[in-house]
Amino acid sequence: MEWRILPLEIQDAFTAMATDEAIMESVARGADPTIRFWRWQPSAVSIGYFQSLTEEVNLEKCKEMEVDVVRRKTGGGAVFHDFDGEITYSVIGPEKIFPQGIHESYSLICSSIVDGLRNLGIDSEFKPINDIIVGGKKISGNAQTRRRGILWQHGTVLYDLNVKKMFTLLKVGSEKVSDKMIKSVEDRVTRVLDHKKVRMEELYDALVKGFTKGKNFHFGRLTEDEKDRAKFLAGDVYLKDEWNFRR
Amino acid sequence: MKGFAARKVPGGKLVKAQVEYGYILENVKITGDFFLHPEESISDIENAALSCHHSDSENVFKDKILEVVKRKKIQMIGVTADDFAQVIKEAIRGMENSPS
Repeated sequence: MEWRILPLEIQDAFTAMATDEAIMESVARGADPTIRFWRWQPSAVSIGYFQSLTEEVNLEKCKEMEVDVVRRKTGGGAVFHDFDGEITYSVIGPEKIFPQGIHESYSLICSSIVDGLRNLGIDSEFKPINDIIVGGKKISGNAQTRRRGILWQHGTVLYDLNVKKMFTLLKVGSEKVSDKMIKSVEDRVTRVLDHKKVRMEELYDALVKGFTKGKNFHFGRLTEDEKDRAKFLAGDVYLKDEWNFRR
Repeated sequence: MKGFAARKVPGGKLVKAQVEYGYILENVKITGDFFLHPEESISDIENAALSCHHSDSENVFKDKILEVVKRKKIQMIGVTADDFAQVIKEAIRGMENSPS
């Protein structure tokens, strides 16, 4: 078995979600398991499958600040994906090549991120259910689903974080973003730049090394079929209110 | 009448329930940052709750939810049938206690 690695792309939220799903479908038809990396442009908020868009997201502020909003096919919480603030990855492969247990499979995939951060000299650890922490603070959130015999996990590694902007875009139960709220997040969340003054490119290189460690792999690209399918899914599902406002 | 409740469950996930009823339970919507596989099965869980009467005990709600979880082989991650039953009953109780 050989993994296909898709190098870092810049994508809008709808295309990113649709690309993941298109890859999942092609892997279900026998394509190589795939690991890919991307950054969100425009910056975006994604919400978990079970969340209520209107309860979680300040849609007016998102519109005003030109931040896209999309519902994921995975569970978990609302995330602000700042273009300058993170690298996102996806791992998509047949369920049979991963541990059957949910926690074990999260742990295995997240160990690639732990390895990647170690390449930068940052000691992190997997914290069930779906987080990676450094010194007790979250640096990476991850979400997994399994469909049609395929395991699909995506997650983010925080490079930088604009807490005030995040609170402006997400509903946090208060109209005014207070210093106390900002401090509370800063007590719970950390970012690569808190630990190492590296460029985003260095984080990306470290993550590629972490994710490919011990694997047979080749660098590839999306097939034309995958691109076409992603374009269709972006317009037919992820851009639609019917999907994004469904809960 | 409408009712709403939210609770942080052990492990840190947030589960919310929104309920509506007249003589019978008319609508149950569960939201939150938990995980379920397959995701679409959330509607089976909501329907299981809808098959209960609003005056049923938390245990009745839990058993109905567990029944569908087993039958449809639903995997719950970060949340349990107990959590769903508790938050739904809290939403109903909140509604009963709210001023009319």
